[in-house]
Amino acid sequence: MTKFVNPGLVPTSRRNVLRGSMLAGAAAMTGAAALATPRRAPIPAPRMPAAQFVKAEAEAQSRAIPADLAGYTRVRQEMVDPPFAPAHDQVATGGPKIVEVFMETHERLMVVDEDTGASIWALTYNGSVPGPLIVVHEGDMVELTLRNPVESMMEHNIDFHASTGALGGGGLTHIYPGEETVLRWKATKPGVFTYHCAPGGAMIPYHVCHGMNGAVMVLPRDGLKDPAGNPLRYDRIAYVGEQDYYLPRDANGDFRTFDAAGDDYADSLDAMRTLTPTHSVFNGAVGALTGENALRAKVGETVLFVHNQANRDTRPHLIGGHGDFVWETGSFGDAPQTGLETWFIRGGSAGAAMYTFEQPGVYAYVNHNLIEAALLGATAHVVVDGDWNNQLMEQVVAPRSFEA
Amino acid sequence: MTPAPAGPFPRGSRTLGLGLAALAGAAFLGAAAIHRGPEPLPMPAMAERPVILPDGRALFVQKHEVSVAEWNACHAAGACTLALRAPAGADPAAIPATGLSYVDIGEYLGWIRAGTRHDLRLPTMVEWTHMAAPVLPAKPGPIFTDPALTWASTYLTEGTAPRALKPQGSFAVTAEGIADLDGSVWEWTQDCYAGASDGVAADRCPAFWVGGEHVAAMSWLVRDPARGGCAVGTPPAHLGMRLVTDDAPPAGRDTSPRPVLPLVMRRGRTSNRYGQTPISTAEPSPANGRLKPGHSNVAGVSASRVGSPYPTKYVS
Repeated sequence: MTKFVNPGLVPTSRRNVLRGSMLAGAAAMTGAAALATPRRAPIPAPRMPAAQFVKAEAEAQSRAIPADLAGYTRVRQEMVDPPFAPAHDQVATGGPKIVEVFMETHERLMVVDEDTGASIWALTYNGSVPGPLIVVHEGDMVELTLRNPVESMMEHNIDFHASTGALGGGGLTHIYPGEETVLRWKATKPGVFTYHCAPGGAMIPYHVCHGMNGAVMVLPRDGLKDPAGNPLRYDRIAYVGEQDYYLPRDANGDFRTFDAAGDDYADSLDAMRTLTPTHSVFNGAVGALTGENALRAKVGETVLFVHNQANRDTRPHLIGGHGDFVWETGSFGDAPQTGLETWFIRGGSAGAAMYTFEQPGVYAYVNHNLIEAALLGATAHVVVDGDWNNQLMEQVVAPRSFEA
Repeated sequence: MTPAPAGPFPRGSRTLGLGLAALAGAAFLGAAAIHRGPEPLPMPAMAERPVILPDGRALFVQKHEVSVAEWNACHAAGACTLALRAPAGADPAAIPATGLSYVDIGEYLGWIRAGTRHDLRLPTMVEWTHMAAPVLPAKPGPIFTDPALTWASTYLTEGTAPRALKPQGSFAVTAEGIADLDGSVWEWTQDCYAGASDGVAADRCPAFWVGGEHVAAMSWLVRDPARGGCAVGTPPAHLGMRLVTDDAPPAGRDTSPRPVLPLVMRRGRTSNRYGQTPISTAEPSPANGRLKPGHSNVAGVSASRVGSPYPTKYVS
């Protein structure tokens, strides 16, 4: 099932101020803001990779030995919306592959919290927060076609933490509205990794904190293993992207609304500078993975939770369950930790935790900073069907008055 | 630049105007003193027809939830601690007052009861459920039938109500004319939820039932039921209130003197160890520790109205 909880889709209005470059606009806004609100902290000048650096890299590529693609099979991986994973094999079949994926940047007005009406002009890959999960095997190549529609307000690019070279691809994928680019990189490190937009300077956290991030999973060719080397298999993947938002408020403390993507730039930077998120949510919005959008599983099923946080530390915990096998740092090259209660995902990384459900019921999967879970939105639910096991837990005495 | 005069009178006639106003005020005060004290507050707008309960009683119900403007009148009078604000651009008279805990509600209830001299109160859960039944969606079956999973069995059958705060009248209206019972505001009832313990006194009650798209028990301190955490269900979106009364409200603009309930300043135990105040038919005493001195008129209304139509279970 693919379902978004963000119904407030509004097309980006193209403004003639910007031919892609928000940076020029941002620089201009810095000046304007300085006049209007003297107390506003100055917005740092964006630090793009220098033009000569990008040029030098392109030249270095043209001088370099062409990649040897012999022996690779081309396959196309269709992206699906979170919390789901694209169709894939857990154990690689055949030789190495060039996995073609297509992503388009979308700037869209998303409701962050329906209760308060808080919304954001999210910057996204393929329209979702987080962006889609890419799954390949170690030794495969990812060949991404990235497209920035002409309606966009901003430039975008992508930095794959799983890749090697050129700012993770950020230096080679910088595209303006109406442009597309193709990047190929080899997946040499097994694990789960963040990817995110990184257009330079203050635009990097601005884009990342507006939803422009996601994860790549690079499986070992022979699949996941426990510390003793025995194979580990999962029945399904729950792909959770945790997003910290810093929404500007008005003088009354209400969340502000903006007419178009980028209009919140200066105010967002002020809010981000506090390092105190107004929201920390799973999959883009409060309640995106609860209620009718809750994750589903059955007793006996094994779920691999892939948890991405591109910006800020978090500590996932499955209330009523455990992390049977946890790759906390995300590296499948290391043996997983076992039997964890809570695990730590460093900001700027993804981690993976595998759990086999043993009891039915409704589980809460939370950021166990419970303030963030309950007040900022970082909660998902897993509805698990099956038979109850009294051996594991039983209510011996229902609550009763002891004075009766 | 010289500031313009603040009053409604043009410059020059100000002194005269103030004099006239003072004169009028004195006349008003004199008349009021002679007849029946300060002018009572108007009754809130009630639904066109009373709800007839299964036992045949008639229950008169506020047409809409208490609005931000109504609430702020209480705040302006010094009786309600919170000052509320409607969302930007919205009419405070048309937006339900929300973000209210059971303690907050008690302040308002004391003020409106004293001000209207009418026996307004919160509904019981039974009353609320009965009045709302025609507009609430049919309850889907539980997702778990295993008796060991009753705690989780209503999950997914909840949380289908809209959650955004909407102006009054945005949702369904019952045949009696009661609006928005199926909306995004959950309404406090006077019924205590204390787990397995029965007969908990209202002033010791840890939680009360709130009526809405699904019934929920809410800690009396909560103003904004956040989503998530350990709770498996979908919590209510907003907390507000709608008052009811067993006594037919005066028809039209009734200015005849009404029997005034004895107003008792409760100096003793008006709140529990948390400063909580009970709000029930049996013991409405909305004064709490935050009440400022000099507001005895909004302090506790006498508990013992003889012939109170039905007792509640937590008479303390």
